[in-house]
Amino acid sequence: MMKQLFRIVLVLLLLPVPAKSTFAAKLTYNLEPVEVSEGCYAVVGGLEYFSKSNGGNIVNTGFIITDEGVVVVDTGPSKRYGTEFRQLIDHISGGRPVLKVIITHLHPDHYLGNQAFSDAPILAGRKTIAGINQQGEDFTLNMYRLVGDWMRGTESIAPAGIVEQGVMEVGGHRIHIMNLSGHTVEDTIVLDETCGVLYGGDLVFNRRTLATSHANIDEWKRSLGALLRLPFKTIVPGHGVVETGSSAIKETVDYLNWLDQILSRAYHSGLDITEVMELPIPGRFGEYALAKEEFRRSVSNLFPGIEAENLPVVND
Amino acid sequence: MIVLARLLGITLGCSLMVQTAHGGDPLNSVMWEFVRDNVLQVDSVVFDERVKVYAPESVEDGMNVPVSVRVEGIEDIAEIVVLADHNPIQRALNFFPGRAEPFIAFRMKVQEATPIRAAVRAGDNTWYVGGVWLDAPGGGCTTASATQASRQWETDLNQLAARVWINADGDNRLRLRIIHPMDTGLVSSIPAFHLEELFLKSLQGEELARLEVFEPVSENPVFTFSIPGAATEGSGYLLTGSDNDGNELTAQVNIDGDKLDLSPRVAAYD
Repeated sequence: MMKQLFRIVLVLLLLPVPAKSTFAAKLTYNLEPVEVSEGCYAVVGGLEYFSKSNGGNIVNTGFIITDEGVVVVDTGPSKRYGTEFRQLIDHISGGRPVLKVIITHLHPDHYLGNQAFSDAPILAGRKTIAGINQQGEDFTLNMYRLVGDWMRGTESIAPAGIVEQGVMEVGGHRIHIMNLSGHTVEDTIVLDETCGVLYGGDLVFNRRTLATSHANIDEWKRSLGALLRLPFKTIVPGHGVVETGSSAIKETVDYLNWLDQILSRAYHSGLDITEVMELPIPGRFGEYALAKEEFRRSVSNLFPGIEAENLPVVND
Repeated sequence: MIVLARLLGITLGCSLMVQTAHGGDPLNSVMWEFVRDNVLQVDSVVFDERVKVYAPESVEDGMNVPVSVRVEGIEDIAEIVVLADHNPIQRALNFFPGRAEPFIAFRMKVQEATPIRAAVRAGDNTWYVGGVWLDAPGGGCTTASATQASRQWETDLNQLAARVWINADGDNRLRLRIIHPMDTGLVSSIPAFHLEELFLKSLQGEELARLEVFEPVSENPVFTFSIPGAATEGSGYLLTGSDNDGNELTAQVNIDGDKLDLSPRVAAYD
């Protein structure tokens, strides 16, 4: 009896145990920059929602290499992303200093790489900074929940300074910075007029359904009108495909118009919010990445506001 | 060899026990038996697909989760209880449909990912249970969100906004929204302050349906009811209610002739 037990234990002990590296496999984003136009780069994220397999890399970040140094647009969803992004920038720029980092808005996938740029001025609009100070902890906790171990060591670091709007000459590049709003309470865009590249932040989504968690649709549409008047050749959207021309802006406007119209019509027809979430999505919008998922989120975000504005008060 | 066989047998037996350990719950929730025993306080239920619960698969905002419940094909329904297993306070509402359809839509707070369930008590005291899993971020019941909580209740407590859509083919739809903070009492130094009861009556005062409301229902709650035939243009409903602080509300909702239009559900726009 004991002999048999001993044999079983021996067999169990001799079973192959996975090598340490299987458990401690290094998570890496494998970031690949694209030179959109001379000196102006983008790093394009996946057309997905946050997950443990993508590490939150669903966002487009960018950088501009000038004679004086590098201007960075957004820092990504985690400290790990920021670190890899910084290494990539240092490598491609030949070690030029980072002159400034501009954070386009308060969403966590755009600024949680800030720790890797702590030696450079990190700037944003006043309302963006206030929003990060107020909600950054909650955003970061939620990212840990959704993305997991990729987030290890990430802390919410608010931009330290207010970004200066206007047109400026930086190392041979004419750069135009503008604060708009609509996707969130403040959305900062960076236009490199020398490259002809507009870093539109999350005001522009291209072939990936837009997100409305902090949105004001009327402001958003106005901001897009302002962007159409700018002299760019190529747009780097906050999420989605990098493309020449202005179709990405027009698509974003069309979707916002459709969203407005469908929610209003649904409300006046008497649909309940749970029915609105199940409405069919028309052809071309249905082909964007995350079409159903983001539409449902938008219904959740926006429909209660429509009810609040429109339901008639019956007991004053 | 015999020992090995016994070990294997025990292992298999254990895994089988784990599969049925949660009282037959098709959602396999570790909290189900606790909820059944301590919140519903019943010995057994029938899990039944005729109890249809709709909630989105996942939400970003755990403080405003849309839920709707519809029961089809179960006769003589006395009560519908909506529950979230993983909430610190599991019971969201008790709906006594009475003359209304066994349909209720509303929004609630969830503390974390959880099953959302409806437990239907039929006239013979059998409980039928349906539900779905919901994924959500943390803290919906224990956070006072600075950006989301409106202060409107300070001036407009128990203000009621409502509208009726007439449905020529069936049931009228009543949607109402009440200004109320619906504080759970789980946020440090904010006491529980929430609606308790809502009565839906005919203009003659006859009770049509009743709702007992609990802390998990969202701030400024919105409820949708489905009411068979009877009320037409020119008539209406009476709503009365109260909260746990003794504040009362009374309102008359008139039917203006708005028609329910469900066609957006099948149309495809261009």
